[in-house]
Amino acid sequence: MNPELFENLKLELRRGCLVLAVLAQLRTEQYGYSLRKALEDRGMEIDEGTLYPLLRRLESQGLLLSEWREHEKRKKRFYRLSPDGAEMLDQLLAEWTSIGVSLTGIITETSHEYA
Amino acid sequence: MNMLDRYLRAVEFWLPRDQREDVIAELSDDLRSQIDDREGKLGRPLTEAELGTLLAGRGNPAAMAARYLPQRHLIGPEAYPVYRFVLKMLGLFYLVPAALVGIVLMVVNATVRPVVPDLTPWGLIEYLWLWGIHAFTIVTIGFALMQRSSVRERLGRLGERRDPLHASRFESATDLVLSVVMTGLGLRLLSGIALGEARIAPGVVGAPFVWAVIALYALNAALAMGRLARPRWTPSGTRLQLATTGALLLVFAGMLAASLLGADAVSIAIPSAEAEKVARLQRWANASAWLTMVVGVLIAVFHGTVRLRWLRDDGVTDGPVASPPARTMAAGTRGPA
Repeated sequence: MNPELFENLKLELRRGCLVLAVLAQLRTEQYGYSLRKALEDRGMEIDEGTLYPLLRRLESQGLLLSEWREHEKRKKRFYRLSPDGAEMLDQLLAEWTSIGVSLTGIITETSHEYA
Repeated sequence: MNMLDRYLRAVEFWLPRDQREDVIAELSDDLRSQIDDREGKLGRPLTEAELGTLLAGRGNPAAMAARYLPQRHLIGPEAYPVYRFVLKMLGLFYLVPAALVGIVLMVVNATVRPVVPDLTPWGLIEYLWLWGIHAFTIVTIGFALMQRSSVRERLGRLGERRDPLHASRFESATDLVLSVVMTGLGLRLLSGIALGEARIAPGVVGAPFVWAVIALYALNAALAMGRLARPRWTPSGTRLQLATTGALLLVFAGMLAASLLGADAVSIAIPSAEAEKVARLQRWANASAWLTMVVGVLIAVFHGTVRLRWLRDDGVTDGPVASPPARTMAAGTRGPA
């Protein structure tokens, strides 16, 4: 098996889940680095070059709110879910569940055929 | 200035002015938080080498800045297939005929009579190279400009069509009128057209080209009449139309190449004007007219190819006319890939 191809496909697969992970994690307020660490601790590693542009995009789409505040003697930008973001998260979670059910069905069915 | 500041300055350089302060403040905080974290674990400050490794892990400053910018393409994925098609057509229907005309002219020069005495193999290669580069540059710039305008959306929708089998009566009528006019013009040109004191006639190598144009436009007129009577595209009808249009493109490209290589396909004579002025006028008139026709016919070939692909993809045969497909054809599934 080609390990590079596997890494690319894995990255592609995880990329689709990032928005959901970030929105869900921002139900409680976080600044960039703490968000990154929190995601990493839960096995969802994300590099800063992907996270910060994503946060900006979600904020420009009205799904996140942010403010600069001093914390531990340094100015930090804190992000949290906006009311629109909370609504969007609910819809995306429902979609996620539905995809999970479909995918489980497909995988179970085809694994039986394969066996 | 320490290594961290130098890195941040380097990233800042590549960012748009209005985003610099905000992005750098956030990136700086992220990096300092990571450094604090690492130092907390090690129980000592990071060495220069360790800091260098940490920054190297963040990647090249220009690449880091690029992540914050919207993705831009010189030629985007929706226009790229059309761009590639146009370049291919230019090569096939312009550079190849031009090379053939150049070779024929050199053979005639050497064996029959010096039609274009100045034409040498190196001159022909130089001409093909320059025209190839110019054509490539113009097409690329044109598509890059389209990418930034609303034309891009139209290109993306180029493949959308409700009924690919329907032949528009308006288009067929326009085609018929144009073909009749061009056939008549070709016949008049053979005996010479007088415009005031100017006389336009086939040039040194012109007569065979003009005969080919007359024959092809007469065939085109017949095909347009057929579509007026029965406004449906069939695979064989589309293939015949495409072959006729492709042949016209080859002839016009040959005429353009002949004109630009110095062997005029059409000559203009104005007795009272200076010979040099007439020659200059003739070059401009020839090049503009043939170039316009090459572009026009190139567009027709493009549409013909796309239509043929639609028919093939839909599995349409030359049998009895079926009712048109009810579905709307979405871009992407019908695109001229």
